[in-house]
Amino acid sequence: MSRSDSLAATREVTLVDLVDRLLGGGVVISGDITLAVADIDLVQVSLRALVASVEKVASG
Amino acid sequence: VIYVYAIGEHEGRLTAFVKPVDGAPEPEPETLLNHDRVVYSLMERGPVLPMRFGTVLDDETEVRSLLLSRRKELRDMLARVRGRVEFGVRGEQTKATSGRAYMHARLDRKRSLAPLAELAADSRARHKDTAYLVDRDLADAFKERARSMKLALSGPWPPYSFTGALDD
Repeated sequence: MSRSDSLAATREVTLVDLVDRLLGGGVVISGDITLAVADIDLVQVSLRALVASVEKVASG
Repeated sequence: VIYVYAIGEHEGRLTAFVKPVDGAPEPEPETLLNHDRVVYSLMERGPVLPMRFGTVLDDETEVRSLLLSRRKELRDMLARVRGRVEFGVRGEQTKATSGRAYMHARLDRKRSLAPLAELAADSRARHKDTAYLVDRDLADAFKERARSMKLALSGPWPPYSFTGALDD
């Protein structure tokens, strides 16, 4: 997808805007958010580590 | 526990993008950037609803029940952000000395930003900037216009500012 490539290539991200969005935006689940100490490597996240479809569960 | 980055679609199905972790990460520049990077790359594959940074759920069952119980809301939110990205536009800080001056400044700002709002599907006043939800097809035009108006632009972002709270 060349269009999204060009979008990403010119992405402008400042830490201030990032913090404002990540800590003040996004989907919030009431009461279930915990911020705790963790020493994990998020870089190694795998897109395959996804929880598959609930709709499959729902229909099946 | 399970860290939830975002909710989106996989092969047309409602999907949570997760990673098993020992605990929620602390908000540090590195972890914040990583969260953003993951959500951004997910957005390149389809519509996503970013989760608030630091969201962890107990187990897979909890993730599934979240998706199931909020299915309609999540689908509606996904439909709204499909094919769209978020941009942030920062203007001058208004240092109003009175309530009246403040209201005037707000009104002026809203008026001056109208040409940008024209190109956006939606907008939200944020703490430090104004967020716009923009069709990908109009992204270049939007950036161009912001530049011509000499406004500081950030993005494209995943739609952090256009996802609602899932309240009980």
